[in-house]
Amino acid sequence: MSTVTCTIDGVSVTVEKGTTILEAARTVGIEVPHFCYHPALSIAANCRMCLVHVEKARNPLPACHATVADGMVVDTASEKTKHLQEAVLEFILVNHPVDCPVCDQAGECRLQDYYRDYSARPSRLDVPKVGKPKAKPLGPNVILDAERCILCTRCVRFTEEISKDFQLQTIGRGNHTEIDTFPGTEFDSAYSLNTVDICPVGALTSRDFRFKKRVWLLSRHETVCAGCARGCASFVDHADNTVYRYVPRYNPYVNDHWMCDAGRLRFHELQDHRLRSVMNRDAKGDAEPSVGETLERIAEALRLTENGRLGILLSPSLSNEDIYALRRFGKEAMGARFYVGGRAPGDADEILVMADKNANRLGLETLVSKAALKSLDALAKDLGSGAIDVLLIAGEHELSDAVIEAIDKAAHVVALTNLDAPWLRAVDRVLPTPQTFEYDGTYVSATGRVQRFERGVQPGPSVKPAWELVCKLAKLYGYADLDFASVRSIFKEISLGEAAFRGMNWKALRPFGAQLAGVAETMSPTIHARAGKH
Amino acid sequence: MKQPLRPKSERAKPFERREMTFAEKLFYPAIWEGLKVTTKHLVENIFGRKHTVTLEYPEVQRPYPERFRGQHRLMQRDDGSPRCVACMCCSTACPSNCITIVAGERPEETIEKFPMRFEIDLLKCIYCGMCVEACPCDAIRMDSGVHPKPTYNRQAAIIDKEGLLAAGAKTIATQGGTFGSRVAGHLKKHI
Amino acid sequence: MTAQVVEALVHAAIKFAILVPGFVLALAALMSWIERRQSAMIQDRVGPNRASIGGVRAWGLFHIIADTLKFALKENIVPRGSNPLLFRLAPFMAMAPALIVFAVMPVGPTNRWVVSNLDVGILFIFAIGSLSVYGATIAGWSSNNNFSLLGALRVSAQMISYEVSLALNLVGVFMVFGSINLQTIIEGQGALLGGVLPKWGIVVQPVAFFLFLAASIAETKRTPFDAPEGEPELVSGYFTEYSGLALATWFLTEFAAVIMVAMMATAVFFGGWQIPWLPPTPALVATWWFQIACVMAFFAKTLFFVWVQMQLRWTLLRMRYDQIMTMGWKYILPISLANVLVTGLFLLLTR
Repeated sequence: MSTVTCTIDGVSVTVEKGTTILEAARTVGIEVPHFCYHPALSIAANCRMCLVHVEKARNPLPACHATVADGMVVDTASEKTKHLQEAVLEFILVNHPVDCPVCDQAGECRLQDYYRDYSARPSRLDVPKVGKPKAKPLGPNVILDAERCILCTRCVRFTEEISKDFQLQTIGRGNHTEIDTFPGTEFDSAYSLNTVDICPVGALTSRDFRFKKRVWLLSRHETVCAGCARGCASFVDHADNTVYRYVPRYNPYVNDHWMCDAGRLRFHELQDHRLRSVMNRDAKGDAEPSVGETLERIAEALRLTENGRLGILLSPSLSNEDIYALRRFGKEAMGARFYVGGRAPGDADEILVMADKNANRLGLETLVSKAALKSLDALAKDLGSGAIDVLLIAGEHELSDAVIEAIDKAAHVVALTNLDAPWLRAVDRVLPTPQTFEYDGTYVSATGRVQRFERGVQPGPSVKPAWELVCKLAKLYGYADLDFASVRSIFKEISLGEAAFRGMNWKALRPFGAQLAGVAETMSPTIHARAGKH
Repeated sequence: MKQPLRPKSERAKPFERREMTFAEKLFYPAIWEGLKVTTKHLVENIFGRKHTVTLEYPEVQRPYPERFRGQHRLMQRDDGSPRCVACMCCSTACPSNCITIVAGERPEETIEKFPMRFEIDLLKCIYCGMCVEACPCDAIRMDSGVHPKPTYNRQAAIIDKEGLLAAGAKTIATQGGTFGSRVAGHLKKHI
Repeated sequence: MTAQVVEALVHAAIKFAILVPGFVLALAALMSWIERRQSAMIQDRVGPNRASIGGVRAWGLFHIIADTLKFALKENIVPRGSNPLLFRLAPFMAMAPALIVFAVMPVGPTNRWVVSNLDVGILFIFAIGSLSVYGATIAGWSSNNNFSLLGALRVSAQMISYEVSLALNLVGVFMVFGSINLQTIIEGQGALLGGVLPKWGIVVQPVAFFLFLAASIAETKRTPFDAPEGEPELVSGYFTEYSGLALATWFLTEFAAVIMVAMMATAVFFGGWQIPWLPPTPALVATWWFQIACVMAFFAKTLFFVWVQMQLRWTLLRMRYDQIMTMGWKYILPISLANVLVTGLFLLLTR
């Protein structure tokens, strides 16, 4: 591969041949303002915001489109170029309604940022602005404000190139150009909310997040979507201990820049139907039983249980650390039998959504060998035959009525789970565990990517992660070997003891995670789709 | 610790007692002078309150400076709805977090965002006026000149949107500033 | 005989009842308001003016009622360790003499206008008036409070000291008018000196008047001679422990003393009920309107001296205790004696 060397703002830059000026400038930390350019989409060069002066070129060149050549001298910051950017911005703002106070994009709006950086002066327009539809629902999840739109066509290119359902296009001409769907159709793509993310202004807004919170009041933590086995890297945006939205986080090995709508909106279910309090079937009085006393009761029951008569029903939605702690306690202290449950499979598509709706099946099958994990049918059978006295259910499960009935027969059923579910009626004691955005841990995606997620919001005082509960239970039971102080120490033990995880480092899991040994590294399917595009 | 020595000129001068004159020793002339002063004040204050500066508070009140920051109010549009568009600039600027706004949507209006709840906790408010500075819509003002009244419970110190609007009035300020107002004028002409 | 005594007693009782509760105590109550309003005006303030009945404020006059109600509703606290009997008795021991002395004060031209026209008139006033020192001393002692006791000591010392000067000041006047009967002294002031100047006590005895004023204010224990109740060092002096109506009694006593001093000054130095340049001929005295006019004149002069005392109280500073004593013994007393001597010589030479 040949390289070229050019000078950008006096800095010498050597890049691959064919690199655009904008990308070349980025490699040395120079940011050229732009609206329509998106690294994952084709180049449209229609916003003209990235115009830069190039020596010996007659006209200014769009930095997103023009490729660098040997000896090119690019100027992105001089007074002359700044004037250029200011002029372009003024044109873009000609018909912009400047309704920032009601606009949800305010605070993360490129138009706002660039206005402050490059113009910051009042409009000279003295004629009425062109009126266009405002707050027009394009589909179930996306609402369009056509007046704010600067026609960068990022959303159009997204539906053409990434989601491939060609649902959006520009209609009309000149001043009256608008983004719209084909008459009679809706923008109902399973990936429609990605257009809201890539929209550089407030034209496309999320119906779910609309008007809920100003973005500058949100705190952001890195997390992983637990909606399916893809494990999309994402941010959880929260304020006042409440999650407001999920936003995809770039990870070329998993999800590129994208995320499906269902995954983004799943936090509502997790937040609204979560368990907050400890439940004890034999609790007396109205007071909520404490975690400690409940664990003590469980430990008592376990002490009376013979070796091998404890069943542990594991969910593939548990974090690696939860699974590891449960495995160690079950195997080493109790000689337990392991079963696997989890969420039922669902729809899949060719982009990101996977049929397996559990975030960590690969992790479970790696940490507890596939052979040791018995099915739900086996569980029902073992319960029926009386092979199990105590059943410990950990994590999220969707169980059939037959299994629930079988569970009901067990002498003592304990659940460490996060969501309200029908099978809880067969359980004797419930200890609430946190949602993905409420604790630290790691998942292994179906493609073998080990990713870290971190705590965003604080769960209630009785909500404790499963690994912590298991460690406490082990102590009360009398098994002192299992004594972890933090997630990090568990992960360290996993990375030292488990072959597939060997060599992984908790800190190095950021930003893109690490690949599980023995599983081939794959790129995000959307990257495959756009490979060789330009 | 010893005091540092100072030049003589800087030292405190001792008070020199002067022998009183006979008239002074009598006291009566001095008392007479004193009586003259007090009687003058007495007479002048009885007939016309010449020297009295007391403001008899509840009835007579000192006029407040123009920029006095009193209890908040929400300004209204021509139809009586709040000018506030729930942009949260005030609650963001508020250093004491006393403003609670919950935004809502009304699809029939040109400006589709409006505050469903707008509450100010006067117990938290420090009357700094930052919310007024931050407001882009001339919606919140502190020019009512009203002192917050003491309340019997904490809940009563929270004024809601209705209360704030009732204290407000219609304002003629145009949204968008100087240039914007010219545009708005055109808009009215053309529509 | 018995019937005459009974009749005289009844007459005296009626006259006393009109004079003391009708004038003295009413004025004393009014003074509680006057004092605050006058001091406020002197100090460029407004003073109490807010008590109102049905919105009518009447310059704050209703504060008298409000204060009375408040005093009446307060608890009468008797401090622990005190002598409860003496503590309760003391205000009355001070109050009674202060009111009894008004019995010999002639407010009009005939005997009808005096409760009891005693020949020893002024001596009766001194004799009874000096009894009130017992009240203050016993109050201070029985309170079981250091501040009260110190206040009581100061009261007794101060009152006894100035009692002497006070009496000596008046000796000159007695010599000039040749009597200690108050009615005789007042009648003597009706003449005109050289046909122009009324022969008032202040004209014939000017030095005695000013010394009398100083000494009598010291007797009432008011500023500048109020060291016995000096707030900065003694809280409230001998009546620190009093509350409620007992405290109000102390105030009333003080105001009654002020009125007594005003009446004394009027009677002895300012012609009593005499109207200047209008000699009370027997024919004139016989008419009822002249009598009324004389009484009015007496009360007018009294009110003026009440005002003068108030004005002095809010003009002057409190003197230090040793200064009070020095002044009484080393200046007022010798000058009074000299005054008596000079007056005697003058009378001897001009006879």
